[in-house]
Amino acid sequence: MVGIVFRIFFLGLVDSLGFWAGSHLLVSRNWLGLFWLAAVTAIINFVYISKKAKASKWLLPGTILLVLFQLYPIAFTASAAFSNYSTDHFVTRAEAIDGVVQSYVQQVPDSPQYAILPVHNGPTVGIVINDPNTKKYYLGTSTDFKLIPTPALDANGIPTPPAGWKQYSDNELNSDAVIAKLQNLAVPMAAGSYIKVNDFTTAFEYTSTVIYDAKKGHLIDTSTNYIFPERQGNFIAQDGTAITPGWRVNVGFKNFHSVITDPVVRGPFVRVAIWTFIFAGLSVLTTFLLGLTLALILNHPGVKGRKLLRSTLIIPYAMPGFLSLLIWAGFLNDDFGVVNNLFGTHIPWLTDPYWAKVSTLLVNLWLGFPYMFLICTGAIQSIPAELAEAAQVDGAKPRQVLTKIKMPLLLVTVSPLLIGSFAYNFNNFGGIYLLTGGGPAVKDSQIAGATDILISYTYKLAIEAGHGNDYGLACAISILIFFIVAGVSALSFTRTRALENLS
Amino acid sequence: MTTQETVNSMEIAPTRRAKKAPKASYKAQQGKVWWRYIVAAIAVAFAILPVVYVVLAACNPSGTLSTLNLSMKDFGLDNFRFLLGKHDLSQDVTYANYPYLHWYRNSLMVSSVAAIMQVTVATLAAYAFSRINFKGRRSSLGGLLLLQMFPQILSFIALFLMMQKIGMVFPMLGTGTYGGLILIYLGGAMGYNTYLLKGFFDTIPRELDEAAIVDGASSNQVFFKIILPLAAPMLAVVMLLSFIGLMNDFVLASIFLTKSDQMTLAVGLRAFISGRYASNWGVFAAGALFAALPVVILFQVLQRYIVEGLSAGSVKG
Repeated sequence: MVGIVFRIFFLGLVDSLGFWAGSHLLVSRNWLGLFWLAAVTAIINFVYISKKAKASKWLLPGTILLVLFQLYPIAFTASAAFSNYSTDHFVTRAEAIDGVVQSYVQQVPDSPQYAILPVHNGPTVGIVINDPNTKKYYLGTSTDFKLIPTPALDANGIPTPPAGWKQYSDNELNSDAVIAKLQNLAVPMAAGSYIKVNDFTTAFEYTSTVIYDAKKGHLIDTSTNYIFPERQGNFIAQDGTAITPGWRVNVGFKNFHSVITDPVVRGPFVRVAIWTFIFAGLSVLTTFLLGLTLALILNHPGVKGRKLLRSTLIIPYAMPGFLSLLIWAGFLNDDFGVVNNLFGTHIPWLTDPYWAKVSTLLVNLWLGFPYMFLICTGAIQSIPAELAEAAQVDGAKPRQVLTKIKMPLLLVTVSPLLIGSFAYNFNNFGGIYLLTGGGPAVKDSQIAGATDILISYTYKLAIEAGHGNDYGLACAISILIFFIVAGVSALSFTRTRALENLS
Repeated sequence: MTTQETVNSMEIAPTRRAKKAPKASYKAQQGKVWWRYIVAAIAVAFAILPVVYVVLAACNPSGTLSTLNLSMKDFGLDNFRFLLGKHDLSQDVTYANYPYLHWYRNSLMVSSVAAIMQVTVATLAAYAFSRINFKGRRSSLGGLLLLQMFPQILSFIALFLMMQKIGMVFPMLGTGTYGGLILIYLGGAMGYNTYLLKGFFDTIPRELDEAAIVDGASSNQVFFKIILPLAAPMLAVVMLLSFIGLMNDFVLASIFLTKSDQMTLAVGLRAFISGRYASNWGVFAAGALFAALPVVILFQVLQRYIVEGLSAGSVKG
């Protein structure tokens, strides 16, 4: 009974939320969104009313979230990997056409000089325009040009902006961002011409010599009859250069191809990939060996205060990782870091390529050994004591008990965790990025530093690269990373299953 | 290796569960142990010396790591007073620019709401994977684990574009909102957590549910009356691990929350040291200590359950 009431209440809530959201989508005419919303709401209703869909009742919430926020981004990444998606190719073709049309403009010979006032409505920039011939006032934005009632003028003859719009302050007008916005503003007028800002107070009328022929699907310069050819998402100007911005097109396997063949990409990629394997492998090995050694030595009945010891050793693990990494970055600073001060050394911990690598491993060891210590302690304690005793009775020496009995059993228990740790460290973005930022710089690449691992290198390619972000290439590399990690993990899992069957 | 790893490294092959060891034999307790204490001392020094230095830096108002030494001459609590909004350190370093308590509240709020929702979703799914025989159960569980191997960091552009579109229609879920960030955190809710919990649910004897079903209980009742109470400690552990992982998130939080009073601890604290390098280390250290405090305390209190939870996950698959 309670179940039914709860179910009716729950579905009522979902459906009214759906209607509420749907009305918003309807108002903004977002038909695709409306379709998905209706589909999801229908599925939810079906699953929780139907008596058949037993497992789905429990899986549905997670599945919806999974599809939206994990599968969709992965699909997006995969499709971007086959495109030229990058700084110069972020827009659609239609937007690129507008861009070209607006850049081939000439001042209309008898254009009046309009008096203007730059205004803004939130992030949207606009201008209040006064036509000197008609004395009428207009509000112009990049999409709109409309007549407004004649505004009140102040003592200097400056009009009051229309409701919702604000005049820029002198300070704001000095900022490069605002100036760039005003320079790029082209207010479309009815006759296919634009009003463009001349300075902060005046503007002129321009027309474009380039028009887009929608029937033939090409751009043509009417003054020269030059038809702009298209190449890989760019229009090509008469002098042979590609016009930016271009738009996003499919480039097939070009990104993957350049990882393999283009020396500029391949060189750093191979170096970074090798270091990624070394970093992940050594991180697992060092933390495991230290954790295991400590567990073996300290997990002895004769050692008093083992609980307190465990509580203390766990501290590096319990500290939030990003904080520890940033703190270590300060500790290891060459000039004023604690480590060099304490030992009286001048080791370039973060600025020399080799020392930087040592640093990442050392810090990762500090962060990671408590986890391995905990795991190994748990695993050792779960090995039945009778096994060791039986071996001793049979004449085994303590060393033999350790290597022949305890270690194999322990490895069976912890090897899945070691694989997990490898997979984690392979993509341990924070461990590199927050400590060294991937640096120091290396000659062969402007992007990949000495300690960059694949994931941090890819991240930099996607958002940090100085000369434009190559998101398509970054996506292609992340697909490769996915296959490497999944492959290594799958392989080691089958190997450890074999190990388990042996024991 | 951060605490996130606990969650991440839980994809686990089935192994044997060994019996709990009885008290070690009398013979093993003999022999010299003094060298073990030396090892323990070195290990403890390695583990907590850096933390000691963080404490010293936090109590040093001059605020750089270079002035760190073990003398108590420069001792002072100005850094902590700054964090509480009671004392501006300089003209630029004011509480208005660095609203630490806001960040703290934001982090606690976002992480705890997301952790609770994550564990709820994961628990529901884990129940289906553990108790209901449906088509494609094994393969979908394997697929879930495989998905977690995808480098999520790179999907932020897709997420950002999507949240921008969502935000145009539903402003409370767009970019720059807590709702949007929490939604994104929920994307991975059905990953490792589900796997961990499924492994634990499998250790609860099926005979219990069967007996209840014979007595006329529905699957809902089995879930709420039998599984949930028995799994409560494990749920607490998974929730704690999720919470820690979320508190640690830097990349997504820095992309989606950019206003200074909106930031989370991870993003905000970094501002102390990334602006002018080394100038605000003292405040940063103090802020880091405060931020680490709840996690460290929870860890110590729940230590027993955490170790149990980790091994439960590793032993059962």
